[in-house]
Amino acid sequence: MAVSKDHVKKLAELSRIELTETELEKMQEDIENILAYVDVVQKIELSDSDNQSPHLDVVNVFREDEDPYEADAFTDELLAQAPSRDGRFVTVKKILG
Amino acid sequence: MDELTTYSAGELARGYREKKFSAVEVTEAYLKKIDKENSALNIYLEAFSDAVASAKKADELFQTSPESTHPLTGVPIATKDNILIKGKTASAASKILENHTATYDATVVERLKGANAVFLGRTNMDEFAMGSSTENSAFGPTKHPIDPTRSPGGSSGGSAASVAAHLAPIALGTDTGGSVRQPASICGVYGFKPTYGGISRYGLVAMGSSLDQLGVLARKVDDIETVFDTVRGLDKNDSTTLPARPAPNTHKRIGVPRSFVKDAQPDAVAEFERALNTMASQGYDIVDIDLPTAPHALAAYYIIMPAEVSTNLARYDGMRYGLHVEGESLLQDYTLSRTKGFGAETRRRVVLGTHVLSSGYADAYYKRAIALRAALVKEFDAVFENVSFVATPTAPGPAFKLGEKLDPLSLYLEDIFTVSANLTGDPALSVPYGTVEKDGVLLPVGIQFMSPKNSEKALFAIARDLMNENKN
Repeated sequence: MAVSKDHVKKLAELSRIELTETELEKMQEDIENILAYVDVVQKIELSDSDNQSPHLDVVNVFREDEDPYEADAFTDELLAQAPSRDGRFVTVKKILG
Repeated sequence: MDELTTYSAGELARGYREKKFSAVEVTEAYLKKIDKENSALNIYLEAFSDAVASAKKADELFQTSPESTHPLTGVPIATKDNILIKGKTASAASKILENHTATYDATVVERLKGANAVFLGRTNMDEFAMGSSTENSAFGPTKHPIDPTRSPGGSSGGSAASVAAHLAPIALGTDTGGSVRQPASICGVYGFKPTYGGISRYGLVAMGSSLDQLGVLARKVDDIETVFDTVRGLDKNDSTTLPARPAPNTHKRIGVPRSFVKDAQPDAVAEFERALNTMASQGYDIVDIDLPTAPHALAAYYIIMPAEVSTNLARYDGMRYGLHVEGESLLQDYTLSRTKGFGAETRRRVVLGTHVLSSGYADAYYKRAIALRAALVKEFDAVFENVSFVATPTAPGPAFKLGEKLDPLSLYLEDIFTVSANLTGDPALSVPYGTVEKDGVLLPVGIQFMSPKNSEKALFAIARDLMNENKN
């Protein structure tokens, strides 16, 4: 299936990935080749398989909301991994203007 | 000293109890061997210097309260770099997590710590477990221990190579489309993927959550079973884990989808047939089966997996953990961090996943792939009403040269025989049965057995029959 360069550029933008012109061309070629391979899923005859789930035996698992841990029990350890923090907060750039 | 690194986990457990050697001696022998051999093979990304302290604790336990020891007490284990061990780096072989320290233990790690096993180091892998050659690691490829010009397979290539090269008696890996079984086949060791939900995924770096399973690599079936029995079962932190259920009844009938198997390389097929002959002489009944959907499983997989990858990897935003690259706006922070942090294959799968899930394409790709997955599940369920096992070669051939499969699709085809078990959720085991010659070098090839959900014990039994290993 043909995929336009603009479409691939849009996909990369949505994925928050920046591609150079050369990378974009290579990505377009790779995506086209992979889509040509997986295209068989559209052609294969499947009997009454519409709306089917692959795992009909699967059920939702619930648990009681119990044994809460103390507030801040993990805060410091987790925040230590953040590239930038201010006390109990992760700092990011301004979102609303 | 090197003799200590030849023992299986079971032999180590006996040796410790018979006081032939100590866990400290064994651990030091491994660390010494890793120090000597790792730079040439790039199997470990890091060996843990505190392994000796854990081994010392195990030795003390043998002295003070031998009744509280476990078969894995003092046994060194290598772990793939996408399995979290609190306080250790867990990078998933990605630049984006290069400096990420795990803030908690994966459930499997917690259970192995409870057994006083010794964590030896973290092994190299394809970035985020995406690949079949370990060449997608941000930290350079791992080399095959038998022929360093070849790939050990992947994505658990470091784990498979560590066991094959006697740099660990057992290793943990993860298997999303064959990432434990294919490198196991290529390196000549056992590679096991349990039933989906058989082992907790809590604390593994997620790739395709409906497909991912933790797996085990070892040189003996007993060792695989011991690790499985130690880490399996319900976990409140992973609601997809299954309770232990009675295993289904099994008999000695093996189904072989021959029209599918013929896609493997001729010498690999010959070794596969030789394995079947051995099984027949052991009283197994070999029957032809038809799995018309199985050859298309890989196509469905390359839609479902990237779809799940693109959503799972959205969490890497450079804000909460991992690499952060400073830009001029919030959007630029995201984009620069991800662009600098992700390698080529990771980017490819994120972009592909974004495509197959996007409006106007989701019906044509994602929904059709899910329907094909449902058809595959039905097909396997029907087959398992008549046979207890389905056998195929594990991989299409033996180890290939590093750099030989640069085209993404040719590498994807390495998983043609293994992805079905991930899509259906059935357990599977690669058994190191055969060898084929390439350029004058004898290279291992494995045979894969799949079986119905929760019938792992039957897989261990059939492997013992094929390899003449006795259960201890």
